[in-house]
Amino acid sequence: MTCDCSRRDLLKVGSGGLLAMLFSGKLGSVFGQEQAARAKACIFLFMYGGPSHIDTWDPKPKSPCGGTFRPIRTKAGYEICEHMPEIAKVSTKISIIRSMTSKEVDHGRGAYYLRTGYRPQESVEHPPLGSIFAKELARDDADVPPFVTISPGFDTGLGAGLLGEVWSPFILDTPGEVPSTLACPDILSEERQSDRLRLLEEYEKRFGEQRMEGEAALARSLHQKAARYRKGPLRRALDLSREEDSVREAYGKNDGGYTPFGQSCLTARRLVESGVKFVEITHQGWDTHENNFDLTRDLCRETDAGFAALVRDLDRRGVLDSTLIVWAGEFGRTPNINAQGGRDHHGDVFSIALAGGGIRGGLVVGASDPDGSQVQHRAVTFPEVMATAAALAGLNPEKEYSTPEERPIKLVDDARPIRELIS
Amino acid sequence: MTIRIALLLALGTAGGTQESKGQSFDERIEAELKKAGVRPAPLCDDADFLRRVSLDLAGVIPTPEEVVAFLDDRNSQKRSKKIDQLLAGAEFADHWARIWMVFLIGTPLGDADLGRAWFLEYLRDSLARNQRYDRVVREILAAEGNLDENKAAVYLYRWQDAADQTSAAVRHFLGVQLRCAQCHDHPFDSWTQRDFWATAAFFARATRGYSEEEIVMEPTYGFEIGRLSLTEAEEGEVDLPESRHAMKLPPRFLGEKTDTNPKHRRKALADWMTSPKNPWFAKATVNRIWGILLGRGFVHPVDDFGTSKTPVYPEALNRLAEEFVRSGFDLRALIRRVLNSRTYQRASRPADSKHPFAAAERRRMSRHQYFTSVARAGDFDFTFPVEIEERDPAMGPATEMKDFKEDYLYQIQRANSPVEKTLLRMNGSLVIDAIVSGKRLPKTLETCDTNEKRIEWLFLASLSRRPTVGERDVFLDYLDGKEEYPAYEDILWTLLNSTEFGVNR
Repeated sequence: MTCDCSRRDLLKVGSGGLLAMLFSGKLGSVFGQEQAARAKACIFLFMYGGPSHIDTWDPKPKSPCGGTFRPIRTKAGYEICEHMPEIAKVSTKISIIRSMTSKEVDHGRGAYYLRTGYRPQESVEHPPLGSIFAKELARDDADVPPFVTISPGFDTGLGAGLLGEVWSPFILDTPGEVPSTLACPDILSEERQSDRLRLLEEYEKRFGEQRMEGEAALARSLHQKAARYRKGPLRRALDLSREEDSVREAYGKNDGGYTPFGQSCLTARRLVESGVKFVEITHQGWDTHENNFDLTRDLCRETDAGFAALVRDLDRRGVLDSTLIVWAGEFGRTPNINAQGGRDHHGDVFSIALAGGGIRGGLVVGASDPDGSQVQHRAVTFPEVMATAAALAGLNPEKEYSTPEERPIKLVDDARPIRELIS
Repeated sequence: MTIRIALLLALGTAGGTQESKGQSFDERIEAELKKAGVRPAPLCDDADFLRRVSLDLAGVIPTPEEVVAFLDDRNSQKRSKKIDQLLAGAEFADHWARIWMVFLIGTPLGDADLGRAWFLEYLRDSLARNQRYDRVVREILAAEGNLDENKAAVYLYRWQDAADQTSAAVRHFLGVQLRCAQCHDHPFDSWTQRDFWATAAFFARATRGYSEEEIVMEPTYGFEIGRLSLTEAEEGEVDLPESRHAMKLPPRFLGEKTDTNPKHRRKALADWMTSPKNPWFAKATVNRIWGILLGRGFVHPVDDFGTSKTPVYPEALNRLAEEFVRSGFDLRALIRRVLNSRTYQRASRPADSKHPFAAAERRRMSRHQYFTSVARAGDFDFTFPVEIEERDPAMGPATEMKDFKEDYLYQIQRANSPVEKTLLRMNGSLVIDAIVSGKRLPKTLETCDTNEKRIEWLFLASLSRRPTVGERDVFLDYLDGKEEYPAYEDILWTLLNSTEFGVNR
């Protein structure tokens, strides 16, 4: 980790200053252990299925496996696939890692590794990064859930792992819509809903709390939270009709209307602005075993509009520097194109992209070999990405959590942040 | 090493002191509590007993008719009769197969999870026939064949290599946590890395197969896949990792001093594990069943029989384990024994970790219990899908139930935050459907002629007890001046959303 203060700063502040720093919680940075938090929230764009690196961030036009897409040169200087022109325009804010590597090439196991930074093990349930952000950064009395997942469509069976279900994600099925549980059901008037809640409150207060001491108190606090979610900023944040059509369109529109991925990105921006600490969006469909190029072209266009609009929008609102964005799938795809015109799972090398939250933009970290088959230099693993995110959020990657058997589990599995990416 | 020998002695020859010989496990627990100056809770009342035992055995609350019949029954043996009746029911095999599947197979993990529904079928069938538990474990560990034919093979197929199979099998069947010793000597138990890999050697020849030549229907996900198989290879060894020269380790039973060289390694391991002489098998199984029924084990967490850990009430655990061995590993007899005990039948109090089992511990319903109980309270026709997880105490549906027929695997398995569960209990569509489309409300209004009787019936249907006068009056007041039917919907909604409904009390 880099140190915030130079030695001269330290001399200058003197002992009184040092004491002040101690009390302001900055001592860690004085000794180079931690850096002041840059990322106050994270938006994690999960490209489920495993995107082809060659057809997105790591074009190989000279390789026989390069496929049908042409590369375009971005503003930042690096080349990406021609179907991501908007990203090319904001590329100075986005950095790419072209040397990711993972041994997990099953979707479930790979997704677990990506989301938790640990390879699946019998007997431990590691927490996903979103639950860690929630636990470490959120206030318990917040009006919004700390961790939100949008349109998951997949399940790793993992809530918050060993951190406990209270840090599990709040799940939204359809972006752009207020879920029916937050709204009043069609069959009820608001008045009847209020009547019911009053009756329940009275019953619980007079009888439930005696019969179910302990449990009833928890239930009451959950009901109070549920009421805050139903009435407060969460419901407003989820209502995309409050946005101009031009804004909604910028996040992506095709023949079928606004793209779900784009509307998820816009929802994520609104959620982060309302205080959510971690938003995970699943962009499905990258498992292109057949017909890779038609499918990937469309996926690139969706990702291009959504990701670029998110970067631009956050930047315009002055919050890009405090919002980390991670674009990643659980693995990449083979250079080899199979008989069905598809590409298969490939973990040896693949690419991910990062922006905002203290990430230095416009860089390329590492490289794959000329065929996009192996890492050429600077292999990077998911735990290093976790360590980077943790460091940017001001969290100690060495922090230990405990399993029910009291076995210590580190926040990050023996990995250091990717220094060159931290601005 | 000395610790381990001491442990083996302690575990192996269960005995106990002279004076405690002949005492039941209830008496042993009560004697310990008395020594600690703790007065155990009285036995629970009949209504609490019926609800508890129904949720524990059938996974669902009793019907109101059943509650009334049980409360009015004057037979002094009615509790044990009810236990026998529930143990013989089809719901018992189904509910316990789900519990057992999650304990053995755990949470879904992608492609490796193929065959869950096969395994559930295997477990359900074993439980329905009351197959002896040692035999079940031998069938699972020594399994060979195609997964669609030999469904017990799904268990080992799930784990990708001998290391994972080892730590899973040792934890699940012996309650021992060996995992840490895979990479280094165990930090606080006495297990060495060599212990781990010498056990893993028993799984070195287990081979997972996949054949695209033959296509079968995978029932969990409902699509066609190549045939999956588990076979035993002629050869195959494990190496001790990071040893200077690749060192083939011969198999050795955990805690023993000499290597072994059996013809069929997994069979030999299965026989050793399930032997009446095995120091852990009976105790680990008793402890798990006890944990399921009482909310916590003698050893807690239930699968952590570390060499440095002492169980609470060790003599009671030993006593139950001896009985379990003598019964020929009869799971149903073990469950029956626990349920008929005073310890299980005590009134509940908030958990007291210092003096466990002085009272019953209240437990949150699992998803299966919650969903099926909401449907039963509303008299709404509903079948719980086979694949859904039991693991997570839910108190609420995972998602909108309307979608779940189309896509329930994805929709319902995932875990949610507790607030989301609260919201789903309030406005999730199963709750709405149970109230609006279930037969409970119209029938209650038709057959009961006074509001007092109607309210009482709704209490019996949801909370499995009669209301107190105060409770009844709150709802009578609510009815006052309101349109009758919607007001009753609100009352049933309130009962389903009460804290008590989601709790196994």
